[in-house]
Order: sequence, then structure tokens, then C-alpha cells
Amino acid sequence: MHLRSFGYCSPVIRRYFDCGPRERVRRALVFLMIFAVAYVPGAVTLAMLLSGAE
Amino acid sequence: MDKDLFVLLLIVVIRGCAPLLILRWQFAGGLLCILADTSDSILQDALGAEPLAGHYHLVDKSFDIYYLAFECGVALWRWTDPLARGAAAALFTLRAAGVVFFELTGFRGTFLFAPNVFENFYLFVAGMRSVDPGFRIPSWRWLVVTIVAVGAPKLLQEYVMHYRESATWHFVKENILMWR
Repeated sequence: MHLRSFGYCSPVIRRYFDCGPRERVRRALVFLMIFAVAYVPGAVTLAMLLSGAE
Repeated sequence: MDKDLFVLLLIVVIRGCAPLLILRWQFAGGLLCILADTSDSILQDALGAEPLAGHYHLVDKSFDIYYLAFECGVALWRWTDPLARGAAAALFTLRAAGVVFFELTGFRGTFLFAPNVFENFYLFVAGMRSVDPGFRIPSWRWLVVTIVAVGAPKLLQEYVMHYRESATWHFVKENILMWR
């Protein structure tokens, strides 16, 4: 956050989002889905464990 | 037509055809297979039919391995990164062997030793390749980091769903979707 306020952006992130607006949205959705597929079911099962649901 | 038979046919058609999409769209096809995987519980609940009662696990696991085999085939034949290809083949083999071992022994702990990390790994690499076709896992260290990152939540999921046999879909339905 501190670095970004000085205009810093990771070169990796910059490379992946260096494209047109529609493609940028598509890529953002792909990253979101990769994350969601891995972590949303994990989060749900963690919630089940913590709440003691059977 | 009998309702149970209709639901069974629907499940077989959806789960049988969805993996073909992986051949055309590696990433989106993989996501649609997950959707197809959840569709059998949803269809049975929504239509009030239980054609798979008693055999649900066997049928579900067979269809799972069927679509994971398509993903493994795509990884082996279309991916150019030898590290990602080798890891995908190893993770798929581990999962398939685990499922067969479970069906033979009924030992539920199998899923903790053979979790379905392959699926998350496949979707990670296929997703990254859809953004950057030249994507490669740079080193063994990154391969381990990737497998741990995508595998840890899967291990938790296996523990709750398959070891504790908790009804995840019912939990989601009642507590998240508020569908009673």
C-alpha cells in the first residue's frame, strides 16, 4: 500500500494486466476463479468445522 | 418416464458430456466440470429423486475420475512445461490410486493420503496458460509452493467431506443459500 502510493506496481502484475480493457477484465476473472475454486470450498468446510455442523 | 430414471439420465448426460468441453476450453471446461459435479446433488434435491441412493459415492467418484482423466490427458498432451506436466501426472495417479484403494478397502483415511490436489493444480496451470500461453512453473521450489498453496484447502475439504462425511451441500444449502 505504501509503495503503491508512490506509483509502484509489481512488474509481474503489470505484465499480466498490460492489455486492452476487455482482456484485462477476462484475466482478472480468470485469476479470481483460480483463487475461488481453491479457497471458497476450503472456507466453507472450515466454517463447517468451526460451527460443528455435521 | 419414472422420475428417478429421468434424474439418472440427466446426471449421466451432464456428467458424461461436460468433460468433452475440457478438450476445447482447458480452463473453462474444467470449471464447468466442477459445476457438473455439484449438479447431481442439486438435481436430486431439487427434483426430489434419489436414483443413486446407496451407490452415490461409487458413481460420483467414477465420474470424478472420468473428468479428471480428461484434464490429465490435456496436461500430458497440450502443456509444454515438463515440470507442470510431470506434477499433473503424479497428482492424478495419486488420486486415482486413492479412489481405487478406497473402493477396495472402504478405508476413509485414504482421502487424506490421496487428496484431489490434482484438480486445483490443473485449474491453476490451465488458468495461467489461458492468460499467458507461455506460462511455466519456473523451478522445483515454485512447484512445491504451488502444490502447497492449492493443496492445503483441498486437504481440509477432503477431511470434512470424505473423512468426517459431513454433508457439505446441505450445509451450503441451509446456511449460505438459505434454501430450506
